[in-house]
Amino acid sequence: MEEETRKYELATIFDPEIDESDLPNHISGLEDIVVNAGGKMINKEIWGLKDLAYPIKKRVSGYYVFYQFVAPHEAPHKIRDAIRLREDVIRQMTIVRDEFPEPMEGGEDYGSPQE
Amino acid sequence: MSSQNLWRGVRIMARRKSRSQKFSGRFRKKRTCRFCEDPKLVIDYKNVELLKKYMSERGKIVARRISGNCSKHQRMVARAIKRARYLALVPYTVDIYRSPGTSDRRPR
Repeated sequence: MEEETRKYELATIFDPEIDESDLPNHISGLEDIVVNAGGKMINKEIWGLKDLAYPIKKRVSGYYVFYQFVAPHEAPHKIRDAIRLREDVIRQMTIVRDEFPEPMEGGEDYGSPQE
Repeated sequence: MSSQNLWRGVRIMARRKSRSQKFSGRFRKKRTCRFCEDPKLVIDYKNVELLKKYMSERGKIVARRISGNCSKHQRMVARAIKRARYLALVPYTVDIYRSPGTSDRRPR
């Protein structure tokens, strides 16, 4: 039986104190979390270092990365719990998307989803 | 509500009435929802420049009465702003100097 999936977007802010050369490892680390939770990556947007509108965990800037993926309904919960254990992410938010909009900047296409 | 406030409200209402009478049929411009007119305009929490147009200088969400949005799109704008706030893309509040004695904020 086909499992029902939905479109999700995970928005994350990485700690600005992590090494910039190490950033791709951190970014793909979260991608693994998404895939392990049963998600299928669709697109990824990397905005890079941006100033925050207000301090979070005493940081005034952060690396913004957005992951768009398709996953079954129990995945967001797993993803959130897994990311909470990581110290390199200072903020995260997973939302349900009806449609994936055009990437605003720094988009990386994984090809269109099958089905 | 104190009687002073009540009277202030009455005065405002009286003023509004006279204003609307004065301008009825002449200057009223029909305001339409910008998002209904242009379906290509997407409301998204990542579209910070667009959201800022619907926020006051202090960071508050602009009322529908002022923005002219329809209720559907106003809800979408409000949700997007709240999401953007959580991600620190836009501020929750902006401190603007206020003269002492105003009620909006407690003195430090």
